[in-house]
Amino acid sequence: MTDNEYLKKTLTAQTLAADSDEMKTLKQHREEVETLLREKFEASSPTIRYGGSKAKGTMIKEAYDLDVICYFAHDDDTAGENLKEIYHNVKEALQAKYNVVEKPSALRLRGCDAAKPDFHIDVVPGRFTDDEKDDAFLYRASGEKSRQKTNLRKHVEHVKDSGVLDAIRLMKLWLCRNGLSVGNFILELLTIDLLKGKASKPLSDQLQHVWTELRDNIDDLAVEDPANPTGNALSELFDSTVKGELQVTAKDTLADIEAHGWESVYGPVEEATKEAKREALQKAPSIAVGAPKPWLPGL
Amino acid sequence: MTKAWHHRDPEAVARDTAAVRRAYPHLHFLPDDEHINIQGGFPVTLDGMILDRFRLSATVPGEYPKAVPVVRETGGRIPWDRDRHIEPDGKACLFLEEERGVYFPVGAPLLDFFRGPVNSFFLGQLYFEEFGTWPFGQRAHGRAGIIEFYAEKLGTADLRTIIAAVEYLQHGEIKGHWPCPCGNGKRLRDCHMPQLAALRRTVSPEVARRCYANLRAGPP
Repeated sequence: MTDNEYLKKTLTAQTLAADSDEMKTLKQHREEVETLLREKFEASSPTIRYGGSKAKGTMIKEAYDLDVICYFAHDDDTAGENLKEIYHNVKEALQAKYNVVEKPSALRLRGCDAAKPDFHIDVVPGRFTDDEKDDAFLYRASGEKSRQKTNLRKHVEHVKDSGVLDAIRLMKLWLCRNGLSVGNFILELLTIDLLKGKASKPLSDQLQHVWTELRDNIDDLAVEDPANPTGNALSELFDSTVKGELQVTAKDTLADIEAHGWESVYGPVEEATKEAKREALQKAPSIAVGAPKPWLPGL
Repeated sequence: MTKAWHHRDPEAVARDTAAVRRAYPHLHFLPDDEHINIQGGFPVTLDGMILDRFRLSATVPGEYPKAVPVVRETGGRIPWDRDRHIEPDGKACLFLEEERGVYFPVGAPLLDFFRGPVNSFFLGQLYFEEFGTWPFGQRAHGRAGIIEFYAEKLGTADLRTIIAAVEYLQHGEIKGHWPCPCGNGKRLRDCHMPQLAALRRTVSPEVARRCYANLRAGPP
């Protein structure tokens, strides 16, 4: 198998089929979320649609977070007089059914059972800037500014029309496997920027080019929000810590490819099925005999 | 002040780094002046099968290998909750200090730390997520967990015996002619010596001193 065949197979294994359990569950929650919000904000009739990787075509099985945007008209005050109020009112509406965790601009939905992993859904409340219903403002719970201008259509087009979707999905998998703190959108923008004019190159060359740039020229790289190039709120998310992490990881990755090949980056193509993993996990007490018992000091 | 591990023993660091990175290519080493921060994606394995992945950071303190690396799950998946054996600052409580000699003795390669207690901890978390119980059991929190450990090893839950045994463990050498800590009037060699000798293999005098102070400070 050539490097590119391996990468293509890795991508295929990371594709979530429309009829997969994960997608069915996501769809079900998305419908629940929409019903909750439409009932609560009946008078406002918010715009609710998919955003994020689902809309951009960059979803991967290993980190299949679903963004659901919920935008209100610019002159509608029923959901809140300002962005902060909208954010908190949407949160309150979702709390009827979910355990909601606040993120800088989004609301993360978790189940009420804290032991279970979350639902992979972020709801992003916002308000359109005008009647065009194109640009929108989002509330920012952290950072220098309290609001952020954005445009879902421009983001989606920027990524979808880049011609390097496969490279973006593999970079996302790389981000995920290496536990990097850089945001998905920053990495997408960096990848698109660094691969300008290189869409026809083999995937392995594209990825190695991105990592080489991250390793050698990280301080010269900048990210610009295509929806808001003048009020760039992304630069504060691409700080020295994030850059340092990307640089070290890119350096290690390139060295690993050189020494051990591509499997050291993405592992075996096929991983065990969910059922096989659950079955194995069930046997953990008898297989890992004598493993340490966790404890907690200081009480 | 003692120099940090990576300044004291760069050869050992290079050897351990290479071994950990070969086994865990998604973990990356970011040293600063005082520590080595290891961070990245950690695959949880059982019988060679990858069951899931967690995002973690492991801070190797300057005093390593005497001190144990501090592990945190940084992906936001595990609540920082005492019932999940995570301290409020995110520190994962992998094992009792007294059990270090069993699970990650001083001088063992750093790779053993990840393959052993770290993998077991996250395996336990996965099992808990799925089935709501701990696959290898759990220690009671705080002082109660320490007492539980000594009670298991000594075969008695009597606190006075445990404190007396820990008092002996503070010494470099435990003498057979000392009176047995269980208080039955026999010499140690004729009573609880095998249990004390087994404890000696994993509990250093330094750990015993900390534990003794802790046990003495608490309620009887």
